[in-house]
Amino acid sequence: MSLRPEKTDSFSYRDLARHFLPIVRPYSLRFGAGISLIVLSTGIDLLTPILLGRAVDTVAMPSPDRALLYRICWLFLGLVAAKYVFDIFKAYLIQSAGEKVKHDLRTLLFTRIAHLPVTYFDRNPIGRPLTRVVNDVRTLGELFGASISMTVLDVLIITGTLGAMFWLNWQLALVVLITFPLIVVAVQIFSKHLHTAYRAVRTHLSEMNAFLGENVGAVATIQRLAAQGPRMDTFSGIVDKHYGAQMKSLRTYALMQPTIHSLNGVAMATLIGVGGYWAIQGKITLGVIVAFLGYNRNLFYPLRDLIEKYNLILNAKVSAERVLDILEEPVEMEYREGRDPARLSDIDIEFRDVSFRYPTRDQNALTDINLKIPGGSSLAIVGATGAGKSSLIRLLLRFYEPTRGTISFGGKNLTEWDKADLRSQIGVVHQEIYLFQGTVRENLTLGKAGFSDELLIEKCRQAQIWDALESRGGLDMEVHEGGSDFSVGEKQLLSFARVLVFDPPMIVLDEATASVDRQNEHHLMEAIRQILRDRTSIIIAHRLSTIEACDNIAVFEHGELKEIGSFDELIQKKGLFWNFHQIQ
Amino acid sequence: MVREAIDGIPEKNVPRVLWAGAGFLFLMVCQSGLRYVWRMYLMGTSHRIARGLRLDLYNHLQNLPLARYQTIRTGDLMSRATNDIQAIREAVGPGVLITVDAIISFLIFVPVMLYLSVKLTILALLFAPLVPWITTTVGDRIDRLFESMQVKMSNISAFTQETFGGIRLIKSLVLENRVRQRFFDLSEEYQEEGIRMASCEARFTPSLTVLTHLGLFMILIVGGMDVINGAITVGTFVAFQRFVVQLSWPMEAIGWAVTMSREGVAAHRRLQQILGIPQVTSVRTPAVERKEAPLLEINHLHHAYESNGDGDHFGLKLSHLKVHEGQKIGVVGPVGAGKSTLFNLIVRLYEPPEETVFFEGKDVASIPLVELRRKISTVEQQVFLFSEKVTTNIELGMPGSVDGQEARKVIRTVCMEDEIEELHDKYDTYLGERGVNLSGGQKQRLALARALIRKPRLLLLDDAFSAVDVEIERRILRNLLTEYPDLTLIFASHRLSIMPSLDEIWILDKGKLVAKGHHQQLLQSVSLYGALWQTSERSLESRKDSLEADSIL
Repeated sequence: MSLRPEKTDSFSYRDLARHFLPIVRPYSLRFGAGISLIVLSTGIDLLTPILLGRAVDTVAMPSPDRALLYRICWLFLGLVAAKYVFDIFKAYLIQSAGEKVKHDLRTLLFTRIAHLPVTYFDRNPIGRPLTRVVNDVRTLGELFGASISMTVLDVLIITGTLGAMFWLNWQLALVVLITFPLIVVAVQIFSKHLHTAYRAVRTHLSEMNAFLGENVGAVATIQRLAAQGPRMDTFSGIVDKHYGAQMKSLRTYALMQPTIHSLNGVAMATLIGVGGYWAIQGKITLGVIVAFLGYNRNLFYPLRDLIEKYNLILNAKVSAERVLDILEEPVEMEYREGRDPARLSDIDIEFRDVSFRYPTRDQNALTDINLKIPGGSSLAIVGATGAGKSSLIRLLLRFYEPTRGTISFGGKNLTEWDKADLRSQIGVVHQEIYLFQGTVRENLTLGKAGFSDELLIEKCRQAQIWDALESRGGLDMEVHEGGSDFSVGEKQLLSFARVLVFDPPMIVLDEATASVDRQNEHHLMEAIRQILRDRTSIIIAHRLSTIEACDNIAVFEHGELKEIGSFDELIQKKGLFWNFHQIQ
Repeated sequence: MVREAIDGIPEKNVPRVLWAGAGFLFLMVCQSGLRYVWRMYLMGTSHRIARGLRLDLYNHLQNLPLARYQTIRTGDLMSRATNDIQAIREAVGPGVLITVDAIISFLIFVPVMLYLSVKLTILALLFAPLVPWITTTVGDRIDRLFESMQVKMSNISAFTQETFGGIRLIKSLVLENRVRQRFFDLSEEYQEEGIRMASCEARFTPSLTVLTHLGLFMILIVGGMDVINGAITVGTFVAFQRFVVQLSWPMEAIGWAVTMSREGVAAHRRLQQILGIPQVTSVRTPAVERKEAPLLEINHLHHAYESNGDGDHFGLKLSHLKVHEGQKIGVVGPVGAGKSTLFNLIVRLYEPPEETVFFEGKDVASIPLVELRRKISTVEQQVFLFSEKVTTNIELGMPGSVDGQEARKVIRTVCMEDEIEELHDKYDTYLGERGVNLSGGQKQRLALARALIRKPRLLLLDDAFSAVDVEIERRILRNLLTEYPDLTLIFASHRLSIMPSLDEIWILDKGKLVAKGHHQQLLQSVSLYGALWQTSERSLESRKDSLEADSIL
């Protein structure tokens, strides 16, 4: 197996009900009306065998009553017409309610996942939450759509039929029902096996989707390495496991059906034998046997259906558990009403004794950081790979929480800040850029209205990207998923333009120009110098020109803050930074 | 058998009734056994088909021409690989199962019915021809709705994939509510279609059931009168009631089968859209070997991008370039100069025109892709690592597994030994999705290791050290030269500090070769190079700085 297996907590049916009932509640009227119609329709189903039996008894009488036969026939016709109408409405009501529930659940789930902390996405490949939103919601939707009505229907038919049978002739009913306990036992045994089998199918499906999600996105790399063969081997291993699990569940299921069918055969044979014998003896009428034959069908086939639905319910339970797992994950975003956050450019940022270790690592990424960034000032961060520069920024954006120590903005602890307030004031240009499918304009404005094309073009010019865009469709140029039509440098410039458009009070540039060529960067420096004015900025850079433009410089090494001060101070101090500078 | 029993009762014929009971049981058990066997067979087959389709689709996808592939959304492909294959499976599994079931039922019941009473048979089946009429008219609509629902589900899937893939960006831009709204709209579109489907399907089954009931009504009234008139026995009357009921399922089943097969056909069509795209051809032209040829030769290579809208084409236009065995070449030029395009053309990720790129004296179009890409390794700027073990990532694309000695050697070359030793499970450590738990520089170095272990003849480095320390870059280059002295290297970089030590430098601008030559030569004669060198020199990193890039995401 190529991926870490997924763990699912087991929830009791009560837990599940507690979580999912509120989602269904808004549609209780639809479901209620639908179920009422099912009751009516089922009532008709129960009446028809009686009518048919009566018809047989009527014609079998020595002096048949034609008028009675006609009455029975017309009654029958009336009932089936009514049932026709009921059935149409019940199916529509319940299925449409099911769609609405799915829509609500899907949106709820998506929103939840989007609000999960970054650590969740570190732990889970995208295929996993994707399966939740697409497949599991569908399975749950089936439960609330078709199956709920079928289940209610089947339960009604079974109880109604049993009642009618005992009412007609309880001795014969007992004889016919001899196999009933056997069926219940068989169902229980089978269902246990099926449950395990379905769980396995789901797990492997999710693994398969995770693999696809990653590898379908990485075809360029796979082709570059001519790795199609080995990748295919890995995939076919995963597919085979899924196939094996499916065959196993199929075998169990295929065995269950004939078992039930045979048991039904026993019941039918007993009915014909014993019932026929009793009829000869005159204990019961022929009509009772005919009615029982009909009831038998009413009893066993719904029971079989119920088992099938039971599988669906088991499936749905697995899905529900996985959905619940996500719903129970702590969300990271806390919303606060009536807030009026301070502008980040006006307040100081302070790190006090901050240490941080990634959950997946053994060593600290940052150790005992004490650092103050005055509001409106700019700080350059320098240091080698693994010095902790990026970790510092991740903590600032609250992608992760410090293991120890506190970070405060304007004297207020970071944990007391609303993440949205914080992040919306910070414009970040990362080294790696994610572009969305859509036009360049949409990628620049991120869907926010109120930016004129002139403004967007001007910002693109400042970011030195307009020349590259203009010939390819300008603001209307279509960007494909992941921005495959741009070079890395172009993507960085585009992302830079985006920050210029939004003009936030605080700016973080993380090696924002690493892939931009020197000439463009030279022009870009003008834009950067302008950006530094009147806002707080943190810049990870290794170019002297950028560093020199900043108010302060912090030098990191092995997760520790070694030196901090203005350019001149650090030069005078003759420490690490001076050393770098000397070499240059 | 039922008729036997019923007719035996008035005759007070006990053995006849009991035999009928036993015979009935026997038939039911036989039927059960047969059902098991052929359910296993049919459904098993459908699972095998789905399995085959999955493998075919995936294999097809990874062999599509890259330029074409990049226009298809990942989420859309995912939806085809999951939902559509599922729909096809249902059509060939349960769909065929119930169709055959239905046909067999008709074949068994109808002759028996005809034998008992032709008149009642006609009455019982009077409404049967309406079944296909309902299934086709309603079915057509269901078909269309289903297809549009699948498309809408694809959109949901694609959007979800995109959002979760870019979640860090979304979070840092606080776009959660905006993507939520977009998702809500997509989901609502799907829901509306789903409700349309519900209203359509709601009429479907009851309409079929009511036909059965009408048949039953006819039997009841006409058959009942026949019994009274003595034309048929009570047994026949009862048997016909049962026949009508028994045939109701096959009649409905036809409807279901039609729906499933329609959905299957629609899904198959969507799958074919992808499978119909021609794969890359491994060998495009017959091999003609030229003696005494350089390792790599480029001859009148023109390549135009597909233009977006009515903008200008821009691409690559190179006349003559040669690389000899063991040479170290530098490629320099501003963003968009065509460096990456050139590399992609050499390894045929984009197909160059025939007779324009030659490797080992052969047109690259005549070299099987696997061979070509084993001999020419590329390290791209934006590295993709799989969320699998470190070793798996290193030996990716190698036939068979690589021995640990080899792996450690390349890891030493890229100066990653200590860093991997620090990891939790060392070489067996899983990398997070897209290698999240490695820094940008580490990813690039791992990608270089992945390229080196293949022992390529030609190594193309596409700004492969953009996120690596200058100090480490220097050490890696030193290692490369000592451990792989014969390796031919083409090195595109924005950092020019390495350029003075290379054999030749090509300067590209706007897809054209501006100049080539040694560093000193170019410095004096080419102003663009001079300018690039100047800006590069000014930057701190062009010297020994070890102040380096690390990626945040």
